[in-house]
Amino acid sequence: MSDSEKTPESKTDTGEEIRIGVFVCHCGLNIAGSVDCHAVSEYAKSLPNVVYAVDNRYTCSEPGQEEIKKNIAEHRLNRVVVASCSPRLHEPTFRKTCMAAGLNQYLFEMANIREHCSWVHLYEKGPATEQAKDLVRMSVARAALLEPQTETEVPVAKRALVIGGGVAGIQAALDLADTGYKVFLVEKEPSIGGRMAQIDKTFPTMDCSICILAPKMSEAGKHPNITIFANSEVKEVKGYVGNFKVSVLKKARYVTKDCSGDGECAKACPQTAPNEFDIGLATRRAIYVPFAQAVPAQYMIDRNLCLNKGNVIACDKCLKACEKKCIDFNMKDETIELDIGTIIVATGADVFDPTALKEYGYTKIPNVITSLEFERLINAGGPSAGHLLRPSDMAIPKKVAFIQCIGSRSDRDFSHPYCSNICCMNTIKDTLLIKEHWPDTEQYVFYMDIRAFGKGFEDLYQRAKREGVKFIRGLPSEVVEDRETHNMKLTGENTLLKELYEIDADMVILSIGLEPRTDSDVIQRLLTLSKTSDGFFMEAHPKLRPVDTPTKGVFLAGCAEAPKDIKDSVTQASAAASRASILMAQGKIKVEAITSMVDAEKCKGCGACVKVCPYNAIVLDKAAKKVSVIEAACAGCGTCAAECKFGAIRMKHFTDEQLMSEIDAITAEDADRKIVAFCCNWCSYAGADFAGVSRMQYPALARIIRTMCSGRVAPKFVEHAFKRGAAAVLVSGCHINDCHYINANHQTKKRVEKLWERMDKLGLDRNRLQLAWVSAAEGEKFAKKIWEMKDIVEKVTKDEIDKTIKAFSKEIRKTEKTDKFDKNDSEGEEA
Amino acid sequence: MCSGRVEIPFVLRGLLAGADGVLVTGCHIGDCHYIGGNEVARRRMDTVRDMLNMLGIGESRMRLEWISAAEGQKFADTIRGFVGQISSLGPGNFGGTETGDAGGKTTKGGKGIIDPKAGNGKKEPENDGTENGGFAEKTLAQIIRDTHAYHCLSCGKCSGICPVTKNNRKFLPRVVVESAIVKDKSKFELDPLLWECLSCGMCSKSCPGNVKYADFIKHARAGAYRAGNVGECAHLGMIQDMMRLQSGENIVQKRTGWLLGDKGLKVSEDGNTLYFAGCLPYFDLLFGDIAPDIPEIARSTVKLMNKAGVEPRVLHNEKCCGHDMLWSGDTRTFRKLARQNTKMIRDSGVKRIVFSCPECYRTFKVDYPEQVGADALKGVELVHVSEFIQQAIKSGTLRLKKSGEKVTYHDPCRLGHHLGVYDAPREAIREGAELVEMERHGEDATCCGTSTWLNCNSFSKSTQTKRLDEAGRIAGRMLTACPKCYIHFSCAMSGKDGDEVKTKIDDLAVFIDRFAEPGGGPK
Repeated sequence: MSDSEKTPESKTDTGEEIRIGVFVCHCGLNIAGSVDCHAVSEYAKSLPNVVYAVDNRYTCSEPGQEEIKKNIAEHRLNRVVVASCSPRLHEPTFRKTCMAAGLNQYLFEMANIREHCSWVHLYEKGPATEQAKDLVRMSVARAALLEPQTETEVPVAKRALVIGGGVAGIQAALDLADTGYKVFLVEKEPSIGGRMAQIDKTFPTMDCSICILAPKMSEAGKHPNITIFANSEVKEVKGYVGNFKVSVLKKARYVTKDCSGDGECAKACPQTAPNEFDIGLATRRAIYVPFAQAVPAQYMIDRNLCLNKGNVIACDKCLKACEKKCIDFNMKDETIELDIGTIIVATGADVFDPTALKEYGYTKIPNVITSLEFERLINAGGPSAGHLLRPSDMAIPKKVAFIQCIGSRSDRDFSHPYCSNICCMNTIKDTLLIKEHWPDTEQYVFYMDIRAFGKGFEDLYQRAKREGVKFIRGLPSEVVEDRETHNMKLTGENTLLKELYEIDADMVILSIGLEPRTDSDVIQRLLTLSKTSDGFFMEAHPKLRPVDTPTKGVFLAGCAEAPKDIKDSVTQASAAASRASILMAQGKIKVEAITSMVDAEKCKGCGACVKVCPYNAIVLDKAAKKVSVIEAACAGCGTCAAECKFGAIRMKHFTDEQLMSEIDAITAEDADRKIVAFCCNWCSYAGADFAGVSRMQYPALARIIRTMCSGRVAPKFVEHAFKRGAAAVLVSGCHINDCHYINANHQTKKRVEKLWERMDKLGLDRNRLQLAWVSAAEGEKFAKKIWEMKDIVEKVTKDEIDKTIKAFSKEIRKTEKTDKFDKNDSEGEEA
Repeated sequence: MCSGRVEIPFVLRGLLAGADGVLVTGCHIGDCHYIGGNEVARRRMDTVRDMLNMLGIGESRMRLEWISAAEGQKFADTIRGFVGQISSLGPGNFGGTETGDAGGKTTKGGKGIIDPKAGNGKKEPENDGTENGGFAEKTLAQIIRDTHAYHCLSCGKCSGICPVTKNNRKFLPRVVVESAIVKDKSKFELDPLLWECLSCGMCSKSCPGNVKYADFIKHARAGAYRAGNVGECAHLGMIQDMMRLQSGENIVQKRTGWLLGDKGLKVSEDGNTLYFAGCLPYFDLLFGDIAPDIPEIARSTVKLMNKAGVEPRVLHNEKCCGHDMLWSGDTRTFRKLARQNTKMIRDSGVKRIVFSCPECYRTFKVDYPEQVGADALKGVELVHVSEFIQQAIKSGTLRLKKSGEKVTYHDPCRLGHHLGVYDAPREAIREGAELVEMERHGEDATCCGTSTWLNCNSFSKSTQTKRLDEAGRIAGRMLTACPKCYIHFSCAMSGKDGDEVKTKIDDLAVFIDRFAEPGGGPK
């Protein structure tokens, strides 16, 4: 490395000269395998304001960080650029390094030459190296304009919200409550308990499920630190980590807390309906508790079923039966407002509905049932008092067949591609239960693979085989019912024998998989979570932050994250509780200094920013014709800055100048072969990262500029890119309704549509501006988009680019004029 | 030993191999050494004459002469005369030898297919875009990826539902996929089991891996064919030969004779709608004795179109769509046919094509874009006659009288399982008759038992008679919307097992036309 120092070229406002150090990481061969890192660091030396540049094997390693610290001191660096992996991974690491060397962490900048470059251009060393140089040039340009920021500290309320009262939610609530925090446990159903309460026995230990769950349920019900809201839903979540404002809708039970649970009322009730807890295999009354061990043990009235509608009392049988007089038909739904520090999402999973697999005849053939229905039938507390009775004639079956992978591991439209994790072991447990009660029952399990991977699982599998359960490798092609006997014939191939079988069974149990809750979208939107392609909630990092979500202060537990068994759900719940406790124990947290500021000089008080702010964080003082920002309420999306025509709003750390400097850096060379891509931090940038981690190859055309939200992308950025001769522009953000900033991406859509109209009017090809909604899980979609845009880049001619440059240069002058005109107009109106 | 040994494909194969004429001789009628073998030869050669005329090759390229052992002079004169006649006709080039396509020397006569490697000594390169006009054959790896075969979970659901496996326990669909994945390519391509599949698509219906099995077989057969592994063709491959002869660029057919059968048929020279009849006229020549109504399918379709106010165009030199070539692995002939058809249709400027045959329909809809280019027929609407009828009834241009007859409907695989058209024929039938369904129908429908003129055996026959039996039990008449299903079922009834079958079988268009009348314009 040359120690000869260049003279810095720029100075900050305060007159300090800009001295940038660039550190290019090889990441072993992860980057160096397809990028010539040394060439990149040598190139960096030629860039303005760069006084030191070096490449090293692992910049994130202890020696790598030491090197940064040493050079900050030695070369009086006041800006640091690390070209390595995604800032989503190591920005916090390097920010700490800078801080340790006395440099404000906001003076650090990262160039993502791994996920966005080396990993997606594995076989194109030349173009990948060129792209890496571009990315470094962008970061250096931006670094020169960075400003130190002070992060504000906010308190973390020592109150947790747990959404979902299954075993995961109960465990998380108990752990937090025992640690000393106040917990609010919200459950949609009338009782907590979840799926585990419906199951007869658990694998591999064959414990009685409700026997081990009920004590926990009752502990949660009695715990002084836990408030249970059953029959309730989370309606609104505002605020941010440590300071969430949550509205919970507590639906009226029409029975007061004084209920003793003796059930006299239910005996008197004339109305019946299928009992949801028993999946319709038994009935309940209009006034009911879902099951004996329910917590709260309070009865409730199903007003849809009850004869008493509105204020009219047509039937008073329960009123008369209740000695304690705790029935109140006038009870109203309540909305409860809570101040919450941390949130644990334990909303669980739904079970797959096998009706769509027509070949197995579920709902058409009475003796084809699901594994969950089986659990209720074999359960002593269930509708048949533990007798396995087949629905057609209430006889105990002599030959039972289990069919595995129902709705799982399948590419069919209505099925799920993933393995549901629990069904193999659940079936094995079920066969043993049948063996225990009716040892002579002939049992077949039709499977593709038996996945007995957990502690004690293989033992249980072998036990079932020893007991004589016949495991047949090969799924039945169809189940055909004999209409008279209601017995069934299963045909298919025994793939180990390579022979066709025809096996009779008098009961068929479909081993159904788990799927994401149908209403998980609601929680996703309320908490701005992401989902993986299978529809379950996405963790912040699959290995290192498995119970965190991308939203600070929100954690995951149980099947909401992926199908898992009870043990894993409980483990994860304790982990989530522990993660939440860390925040609440500290009692305060620093929030990123990315908020907006108003330049009162430039503000004309038009109020455009007020209209687009998703957080109502900007207020207009009509008298003074100025707006001001409530910093605590600002989440930092920057859509206000994009909307302001007067440049009066400044987004800290994502200023117009900083972003423009990146566009300039991209288009400095060969602009006509490049895509200027704007990606939002939460979804599309993460999606591009995911494409990288998955090594999805795409052409080295895109140069990604990170913004916190696609709403930050001002039309002038796009115009500027085109004016600078870019071949194409990509604006990419979270899917509509999945925006991390409530709805700021609606503005993105509006702005891009306007730009398209203008391009049409100017006679420009609107395809050169692309808009793509890419979620954090859609790496493939991102890669596909770039492939698509390759054609556009290749087709665009020099003439077209020249025409665009001219058109936008003229157009911009015109808009400026119109703006003035507009302004005069509005002034006129107000006067 | 006898002229009765000479079968139709022998003559066709001679021409395909490059002969300009074929001479067949035998004992005089009445003098046959084998009682009446020469009578058989005479009947067959009558068919050959008709076929050569239809192909535009002309009957004069074939001569049948009776020459006794004592008639040496006649033999010499016959040879001289025939050679003179052929010389005056000039070279035929029916094997396409000048262009080096579609033929070569005959080998494996018993298997009844042209040796794929013998195409003028040139072996078709595995993956060369230029040879096929820019369309490369897929490599085995591509086939496995594109048809989702890699996703096979070996669950065996396919085996349990496969109509072939029921008869031949050696054929397990998933095992064929497995061997494509794990075996050497050369071994896999020589697997005779590749020719067992009926490509009905039943297995894909409930496949968890979403393996496109029919497509997998289609592509795998192209590789097998190139490797010299060819299927056992029914009727000694004469139908395939007829199709190969059609593919000659110089062939100008006279195939629209069916139009002359009914003076009331109105066709136009410049309309926007084309009726694509398919190989019906040829099938009539070959199977007219067992399935009498074959040309009626085409006539009824045109009549239906006329009643609905459409005067369709027909292509006088329409070529075989190539379906059977494609599914028997001969992609080279397939592409020749496809290119000629698409060119004729593009040149004609029609906007819509109506098909009688679901195989033509599928081939145009799915395989032409895949094999000769997505833009080949861009902007041309493709409809099966059942869909045409359904649309015409809906729009009020066609009306059906209620016949009150109870009928059932057999779903052709290409129309149903391949293209998902289950409702259109049913809606059309319900307008005019009472439709009752067989146990396995619609998405569960079984195949008629034969496909691509390949796998026809005792199992096919029993499948067909069982189907007819079932149809007979619930309805007097079974309709199908595929001329090939119609022929196969008719054949089953004409055989010795078929004697007891009393079910009537009809093509959908023929049946509907009996009750159709003009609808009086759009509603």
